[in-house]
Amino acid sequence: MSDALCSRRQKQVVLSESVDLDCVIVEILSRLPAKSLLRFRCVCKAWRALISDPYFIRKHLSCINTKISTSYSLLIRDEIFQSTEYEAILKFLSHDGRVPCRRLDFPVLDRLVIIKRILIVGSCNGLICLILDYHHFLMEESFTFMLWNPCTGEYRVLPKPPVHSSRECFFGFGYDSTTDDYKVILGSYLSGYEYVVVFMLKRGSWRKIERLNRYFGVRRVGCLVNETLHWVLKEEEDGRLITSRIVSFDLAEEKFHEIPFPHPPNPNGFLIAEVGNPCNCLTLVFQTVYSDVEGTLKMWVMKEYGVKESWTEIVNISPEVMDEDENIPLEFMYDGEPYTYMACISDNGEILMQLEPIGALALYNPREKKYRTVMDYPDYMYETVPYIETLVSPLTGSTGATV
Amino acid sequence: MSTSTDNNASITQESGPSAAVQDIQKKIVVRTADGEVFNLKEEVAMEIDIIKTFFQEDSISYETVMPLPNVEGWEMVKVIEYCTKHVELKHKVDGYKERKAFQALFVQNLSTKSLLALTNTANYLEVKYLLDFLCQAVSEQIKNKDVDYVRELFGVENDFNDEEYEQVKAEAPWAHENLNNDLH
Repeated sequence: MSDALCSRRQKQVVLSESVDLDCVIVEILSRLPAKSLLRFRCVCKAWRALISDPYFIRKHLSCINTKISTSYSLLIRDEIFQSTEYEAILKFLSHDGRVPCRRLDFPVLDRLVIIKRILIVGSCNGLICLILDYHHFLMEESFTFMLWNPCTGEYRVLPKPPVHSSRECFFGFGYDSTTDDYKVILGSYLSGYEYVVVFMLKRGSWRKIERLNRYFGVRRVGCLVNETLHWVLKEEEDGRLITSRIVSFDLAEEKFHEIPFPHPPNPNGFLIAEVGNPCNCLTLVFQTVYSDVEGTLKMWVMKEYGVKESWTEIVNISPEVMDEDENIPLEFMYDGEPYTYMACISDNGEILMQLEPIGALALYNPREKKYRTVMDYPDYMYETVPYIETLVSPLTGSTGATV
Repeated sequence: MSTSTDNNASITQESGPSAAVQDIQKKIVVRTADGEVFNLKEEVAMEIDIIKTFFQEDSISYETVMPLPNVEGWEMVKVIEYCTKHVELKHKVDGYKERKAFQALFVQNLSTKSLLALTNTANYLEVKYLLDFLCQAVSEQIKNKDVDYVRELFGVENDFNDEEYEQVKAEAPWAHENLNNDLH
């Protein structure tokens, strides 16, 4: 902020004389939510310059990240992308109609984008990573990745990865503080064709990771905890998932490791498992199904990262759990595929979960063992991704290092 | 054993931290811009870095009245109030709720403009924790305000022409919607 015009103007202010008036304004602004900052870009040219400055954006991000309770927004995708505040969902009562949502303008690209084909890979520091053309079939080409900040609207379509994509692919997105860089991971465990490639935002290109310690078959999208990506290992027998391990990939080290489940699943049943990070802790959901009868769904949180003994069961939902109107029982399966997605866990322990086949978003209260639907779109399946509103640019990352 | 106790007693008398025991509180005197004079307890005065530096680094006698030409009397009152509470809570194990209640009351009757003036004063006086708290308080009060309000508050002139303004606004039109503009 070296605008001489601004300094002169500031001295005209009728406030206590202070050498560091600029510094006070910076301190105040860096504590504002992103929406306020986007609006205050219109105050004057100097403020616009400050709010767009990469170092300020980084300072703003660190203010958000050091807050005790971050207020999350939720990215909801069905036919369109929408955003809502997690706080609004918690306060929502079913007789209020609908949870207030803001419709997001998805970037206009020079290609046809079918929203239903979009796969959300992850969210980190306000950036959402997506695949625009996800499909299940082996194709000649590779997937197209995009980074998007739904708050500022900035986006960046990444160059195509230098590999073929396939059904045996897995992905992840995160931030590595050791290099102050954002990384997108694309891997394949197709036998004889294993690879892991990583896109580094500052460099702007993909790189194949050589000499990996090993390759794993894992479930599609990784979740980010402690700058490490996690997936449930895909160990199958007769088409049934029998795993008892989580695979982790450290973004700094770029190596795979394993984290065991709290206990091996019952071998008689058919396991459904997923990892998440609703409270910035590694969370595991699994449910064992016996002969098409749903078993109990359990949710575990690893209170101390990496310590197997710290796995703590926080939720234990039996299939008879009903909604608060005692009408619809909870169901967690959809065509044999796991579909429980835990978006957030609030301070009072309520868990925002996505259910199928109802297709609804519900808040489950583990103490009362009841849930209430907060968003119900019976026609479409949709995804919910928590994110924080920041000004981080997908073009440059946190700092101003231009590619 | 008894010798060391005696030594301790004499050391205590010379350095003064338990001067309270002897019922003589060391005071530091400051004069604000409007001529008001304040007697601060030493432990409170030392929370204010600009005062601490003045007296300690330059070994100036406590008899000197330190001038604070950039500080108004009412601001000094508030700063002393906050620092006194801060010192008091330092010795408490679980002062969280009390601190929160105090903070809410502290800002209650201050207009946003006064709050901003006080923030600048806290910055000038170099009281970091008070500055942090006040910056947060100001940001809470302005976060839902519109552009005109903020310009007026900070005394900033609009140097965009209409076209430029519309251009910047169009970058994020949603940020200008759904505000609550309660008059403050």
